[in-house]
Amino acid sequence: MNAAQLVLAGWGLLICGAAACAVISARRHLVGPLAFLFALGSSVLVAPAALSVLLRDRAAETGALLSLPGVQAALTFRVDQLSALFLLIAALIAPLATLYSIPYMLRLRNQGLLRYYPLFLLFFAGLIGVVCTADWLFFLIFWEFMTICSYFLVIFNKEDRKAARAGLKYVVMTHGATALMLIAVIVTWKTAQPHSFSFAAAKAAMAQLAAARPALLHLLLALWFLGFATKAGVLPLGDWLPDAYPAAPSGASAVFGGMMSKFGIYGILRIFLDMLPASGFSTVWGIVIAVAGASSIFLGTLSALAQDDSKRLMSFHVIGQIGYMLLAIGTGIYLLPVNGLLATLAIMAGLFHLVNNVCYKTLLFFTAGSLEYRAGETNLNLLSGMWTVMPVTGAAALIGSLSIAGVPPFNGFASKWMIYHVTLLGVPGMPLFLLLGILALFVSLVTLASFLKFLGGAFLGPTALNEEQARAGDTPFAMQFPQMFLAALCILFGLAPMTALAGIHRAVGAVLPLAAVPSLSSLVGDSWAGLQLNAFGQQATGVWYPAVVLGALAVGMLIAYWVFRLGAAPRRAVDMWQCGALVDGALARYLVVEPKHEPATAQFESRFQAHGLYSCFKVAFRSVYPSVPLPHTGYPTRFMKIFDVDAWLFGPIVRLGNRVTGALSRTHSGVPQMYLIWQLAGLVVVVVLLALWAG
Amino acid sequence: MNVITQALSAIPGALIAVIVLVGLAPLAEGLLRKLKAIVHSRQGPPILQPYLDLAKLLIKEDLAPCANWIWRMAPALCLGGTIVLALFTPIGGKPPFAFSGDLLVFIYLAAIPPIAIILGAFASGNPYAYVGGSREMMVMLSVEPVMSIALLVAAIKAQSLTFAGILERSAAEPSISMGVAGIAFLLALQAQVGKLPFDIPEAEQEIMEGPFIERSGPGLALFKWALHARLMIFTALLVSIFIPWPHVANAGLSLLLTLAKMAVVLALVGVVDVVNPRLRIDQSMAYYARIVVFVAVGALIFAIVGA
Repeated sequence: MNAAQLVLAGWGLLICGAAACAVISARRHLVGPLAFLFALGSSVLVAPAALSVLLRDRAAETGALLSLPGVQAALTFRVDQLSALFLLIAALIAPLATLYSIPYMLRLRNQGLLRYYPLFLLFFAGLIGVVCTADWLFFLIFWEFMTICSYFLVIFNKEDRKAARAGLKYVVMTHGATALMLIAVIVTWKTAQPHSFSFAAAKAAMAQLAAARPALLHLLLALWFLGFATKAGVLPLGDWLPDAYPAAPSGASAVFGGMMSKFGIYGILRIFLDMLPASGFSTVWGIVIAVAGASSIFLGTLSALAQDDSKRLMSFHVIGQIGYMLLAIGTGIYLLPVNGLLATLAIMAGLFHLVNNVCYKTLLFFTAGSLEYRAGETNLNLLSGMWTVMPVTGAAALIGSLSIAGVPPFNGFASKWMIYHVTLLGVPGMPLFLLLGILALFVSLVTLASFLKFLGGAFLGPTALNEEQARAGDTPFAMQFPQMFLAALCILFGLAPMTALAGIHRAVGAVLPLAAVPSLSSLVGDSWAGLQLNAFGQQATGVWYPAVVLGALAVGMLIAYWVFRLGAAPRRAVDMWQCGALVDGALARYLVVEPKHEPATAQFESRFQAHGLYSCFKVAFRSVYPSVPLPHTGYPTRFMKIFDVDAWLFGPIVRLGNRVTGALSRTHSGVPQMYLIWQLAGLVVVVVLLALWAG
Repeated sequence: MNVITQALSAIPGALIAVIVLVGLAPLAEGLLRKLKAIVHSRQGPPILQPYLDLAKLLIKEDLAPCANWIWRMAPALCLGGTIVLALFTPIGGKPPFAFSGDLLVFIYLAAIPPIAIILGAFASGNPYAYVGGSREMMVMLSVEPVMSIALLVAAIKAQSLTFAGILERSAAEPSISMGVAGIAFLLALQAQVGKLPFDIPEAEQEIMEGPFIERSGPGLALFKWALHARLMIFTALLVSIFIPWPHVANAGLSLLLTLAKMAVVLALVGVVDVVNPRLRIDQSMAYYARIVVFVAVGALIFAIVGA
């Protein structure tokens, strides 16, 4: 059984798992563990298969499973090194996210799980399909399958009208994107001789178009880019993302934020590396991708700083982080025709950032979900001091935050360091990349600011919970384990970046349109302890040995602690000092939201809310990315009026009847004099009538 | 050469760097206080007073408003991070740990002590500490671009981000871009080390030392020491990269010369500190925004065109 067949078996297991979960979805305590078993089983099949493809450095393929000879499309599972990298990511996250979901989903008592686990497993099946197919038609089918599954997960909470609208925006925008890609696929199919949807045919067609009809090829590339950039969340195309991701249950948000966006990057790599030959097209589109990436970094991260909801904050960071990957990949694509060595390095930097991002972004979404699980709240203004209740989650959030902010020696730093090197020094002839690199360097600090806000708002500070809530303790182990695992990966890839880079090098090598792929040691040196960039010229232009720095930091902290204990100062626990009095009102301008819970302590009442952090800076950048609300949609009002029978038929009749009977009832006033007057009036009328009749 | 042997052979240099940049930092602070007193026409405290202050703090009670381990680790992380930063700071010559990290590593390591300060402040839960932490971050956000761009100008001139390449190139000949970048760095230095008019995060008269409001005893001592050392580290960086002349072959002499140049820069910082009132945070951000646009980007343009 070769690797591709194993992946296919894993894929089949996910489909079976979805069916099984659908059948027993009413047994709330059973369906979660069952889904986890299927996800784990599938990963046990997929991960070794993907690893073997990477280790052997050779693609594997199944025979045609389904073929449509009329249009020359065939479904085969083909696992090359690039697919294998993404398969490994999917195989890592799928069981972790399912495990995390078990306790999380049980908490939502009034929501049926039929709309969660089966779709969740199908979604992973869609992801695997996307990276394994070698045929654009089936690629689009899997792509849509994945999108639809994720749409239903976004609108999981039926009572939440905002979620429904976010889902609508998501599905409309991504379908628009797929329509663009469909056009590109059909044009490529038409160009290929003979007409075919297969990757190989598309590659040949692109080479042919590059020579014969460059304008058409630019158009096709634009369609592809728009399609994938929308899914990846590049602003403003990714405007749906910060609404849609937080709406889903946290297990699903984590998978969307941690993984789904990155599959847009997979598409971009397939098109611009695998399909497109290194040529003038690479130069143009490298610049476009890098600029789109840099604008995404800037807009996404600065918007994130202004968010007070933790899941929304992280969704904006998904956009910002995608920007780093695109910046590096764009730089690499630009360099392809010029300098193969540096191009490889740049693309590896982008993919390394992608892998790191999967680890810490999923982790951070998990921690936000854990906050929601324990405190019932994601608003950073209402949360406070959760560290005392959930120290493990807090530590995981700390590691994730430091990783995403690029604090050495965590993994985010290693990949950002590579990205800065290639953008700052890699393209001396084109200062644009230098400027984009400096922008990215600055925004990295904004990332740090916004994650210090997350930590300071949610985990540090006076506790918000009363004693009963505090006694509940940290989240269940099933929610902690995925976080610990990912935190460990963040540290591993930070301390030994070569572990990830060795695999990434092969993944990139498989799709690079270069005659000879540069060796790993010529790019980042040959030491497992660190990175040494040799690709720029004669001497190394950058070195980074994380373990040395970590060791020095440990020694430095020990020295500092020794100084700390030098005077043998006694320790005493005291109350917080707020200048002699409890502050309640002096900082009132920062208290924008009323606390939902009964305040546990007076200190909690006088706490500083996350909203007040960095206010001057936020004001200065307020207009960077204004949030435009989705216009309300509906049928034309005139059209709707016809069906509103109440309004034009029954309503008027009822109102008329009411008026008449109301007027009648007014005669019964209950006053005897009035009745006498009525009697008198009646008598007069009768007399008059009699007189008329008689005479 | 193996990394471990390199690390071992770097230890003597590392010791010198830590002693000069961290150990002598309170002495420099004492000299600055003396300078301040002279400007004020006062006698001023003895030059060794900062050491005595630190020693006094070390035996004072350590008051803890919370039992969070972030709170307890923050002072050690701040001073420990500063010690590591000292290992990556060139004092005349190549920094002792240059084999394991480059300029980008320095820029990112420089963020660790402020992170420790901010996290420690947030952990205390005191609203004043939150205000101070927030301001600390905003000062970082406004100063960091100036400092990074100035340092990157040096890297672009050298076409290398390693300290060896940068120091070699910057010592070779003066250039317009490096001059302008040096000015930008000097302007950023004042806020980077938290001196007036930019000591906005601490602002004793408004928010009572901001991030350190809950600190007392040894914790406060460690933070104070780290801040003194920060002043030394960034001054040494400025002097070594932007004013590397005159060249001296002898390492000891070169160290002394660098210290002399640092004394001049420190005196400048001290005088600016003593004659200026504190700015508001928004004023300081606007000030640094202008410096980024006009000075730092100017230096960058000069560097790109090769001047």
